[in-house]
Amino acid sequence: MSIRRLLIANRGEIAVRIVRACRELEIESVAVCSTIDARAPHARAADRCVTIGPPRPRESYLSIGALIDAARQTGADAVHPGYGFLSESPEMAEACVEAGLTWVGPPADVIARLGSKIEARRLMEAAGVPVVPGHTPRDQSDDGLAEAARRLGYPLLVKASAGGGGRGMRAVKDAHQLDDAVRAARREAEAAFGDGTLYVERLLTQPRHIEVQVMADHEGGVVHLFERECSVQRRHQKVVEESPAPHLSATLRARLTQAAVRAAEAAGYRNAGTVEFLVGGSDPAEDGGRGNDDPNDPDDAVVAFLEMNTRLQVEHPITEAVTGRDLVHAQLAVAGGAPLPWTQADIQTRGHAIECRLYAEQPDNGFTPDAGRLLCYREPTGPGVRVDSGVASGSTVSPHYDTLLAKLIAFADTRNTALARARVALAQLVVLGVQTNATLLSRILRHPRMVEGHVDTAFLESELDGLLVDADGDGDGEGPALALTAALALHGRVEADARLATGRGAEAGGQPDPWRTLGAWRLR
Amino acid sequence: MTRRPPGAVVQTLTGDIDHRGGQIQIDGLDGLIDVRRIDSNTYESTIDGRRFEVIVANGPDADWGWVDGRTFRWPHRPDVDTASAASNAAQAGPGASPIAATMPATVSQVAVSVGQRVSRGDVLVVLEAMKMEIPLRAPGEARVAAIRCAEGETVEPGVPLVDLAEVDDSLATADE
Repeated sequence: MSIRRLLIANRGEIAVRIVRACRELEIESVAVCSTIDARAPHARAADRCVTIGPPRPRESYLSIGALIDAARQTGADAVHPGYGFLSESPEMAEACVEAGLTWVGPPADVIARLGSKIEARRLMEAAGVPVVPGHTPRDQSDDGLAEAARRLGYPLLVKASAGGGGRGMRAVKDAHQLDDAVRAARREAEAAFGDGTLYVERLLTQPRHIEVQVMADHEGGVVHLFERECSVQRRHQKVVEESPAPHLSATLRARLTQAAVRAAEAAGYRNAGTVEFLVGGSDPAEDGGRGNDDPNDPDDAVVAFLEMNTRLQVEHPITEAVTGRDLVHAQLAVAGGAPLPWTQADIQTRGHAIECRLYAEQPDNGFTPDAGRLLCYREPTGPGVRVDSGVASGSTVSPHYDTLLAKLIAFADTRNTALARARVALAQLVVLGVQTNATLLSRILRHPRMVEGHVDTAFLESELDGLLVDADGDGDGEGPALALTAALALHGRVEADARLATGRGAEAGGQPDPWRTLGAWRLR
Repeated sequence: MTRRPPGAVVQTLTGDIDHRGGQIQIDGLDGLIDVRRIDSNTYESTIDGRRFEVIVANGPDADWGWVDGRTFRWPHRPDVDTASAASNAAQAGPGASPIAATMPATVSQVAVSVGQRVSRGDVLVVLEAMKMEIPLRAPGEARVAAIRCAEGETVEPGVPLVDLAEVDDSLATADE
């Protein structure tokens, strides 16, 4: 039964992206929004829109009742959850099915099984998928976790069993840091997922994060759409992703993609999903002192299942770019009961794609999230440039939601050209009114290790100090500053004329004088 | 054109401009800069034949400029951010800076109680904003004098959440 009217239970760029797919497939789209989002691009893009509650996510985008009501009220026959919010909630999947709605995602029991880190590990181990050593103590007290940590050894990760997106997760270098980490992780896990169960896991040294996109149908068909390298991350928040993973041997690629397909089969998976792996050297002390494992040597690399994300990923566009396949189209087809639109042999990759995540944050102030009104927002365009965004000039960036404003995806025949495209796209991007990580993204793309394709999950944190410093590559000399000075002088004149014309003259002294203030400018 | 640190760029400007544009002379710089207005917030400056697109915007807390892929921001008041506020307060002694949110946030945890002694770096309150936990830490040795927020409460930037008082040393010694 193919989908006719789809409710999109999300906001921001992913909701906009799903609306676009609906238009292409001639499916009617229903957006939902909180009161603060009533004028947001996602709310305006869809054919219909229902205001489902106040800004706090719990009372709107996380309210299963409000979403089901919105679907009923608009006559929707299916629900796409996007990512985040309720996308990995078995309760939401269940509620949709009970309400007679098609759920665009795997069945509730599959989400539940894979959403529990403990169960997922057990399942993967049984299916012969390699996993990272770890333990969930039955005794969930501070003492119980300390004992589990002692037996596992340091460094380790404390993770929320129900978690994802880095929330409820803490890296712990030694026993002294454990108590704080456990309490913070438990609190975050309870707040974010309503479940404070924790899990300790060995921290691999300098691993790469490589994940495999899979797609499965109702008839047991499973295909993979190759890998994404997502090692450029900070506190488990991905920042730059690319596909294919650089310097990945054909053998290692085959190991990863085969393990991913096995994982999906073992889970009885359906629809789009992502199997995340850590790839890297193990602790030299643990492998007989050989050390220096080469992650690119297929016989030497440690491959470990990390988790399976039972939804569309933020970074799905790079897979779409290199495979030429539309994942949301496929999701909607499969959810509607159709078999997979492709066989494994149909899926080949071509060229190279890089995604940069634009966050509303202050990298030079501890990455504090920023909020406010976008005074000016202009997206880059051009061959091989795709921008998925959920904001526009005049949009309000609210502190209630995720800080992801947009994703810039550059695609080209070679990795070097894709990098150049991404750099130029970033230089064309204009965001005024809210601070972003755009400058940091440009510097990452110019960093020698990024240029060479040798990054691991420790890259961003370890190179951060250098990346936060004004670099020579940021601009050529004083030309831009002089150009700005001259423009501000003219702008000041225009503003003064406008004030005179409206008769407000001198009282508009609150306006800063660009001739005076220029000395204090700061680069973001 | 000589390269100088950007902060020293502006000396004196003289120019012949109207609202559409004109030429500007910057003291110490050979030649003139041509500048013209493209639309309400877009300008084009030409220096030595090279053109730069410039976009400016005036916001409620800061003014903004963009040129050649670089973004500039002039806060109307000096930024009060957690990191610098904490370090300033540490230098000036406890109580010199209010313990306050820097953005609208929800109090996810109050980690101290009234009368409690705290040391530099101790977590006082944990805020949640944009799905991130933001700890507010004690700037130095102090005693918690008052707590002005509750868990679950939504707080606005700049409003004090915890009052700290100087530690009474005689009492502290007696405790130990």
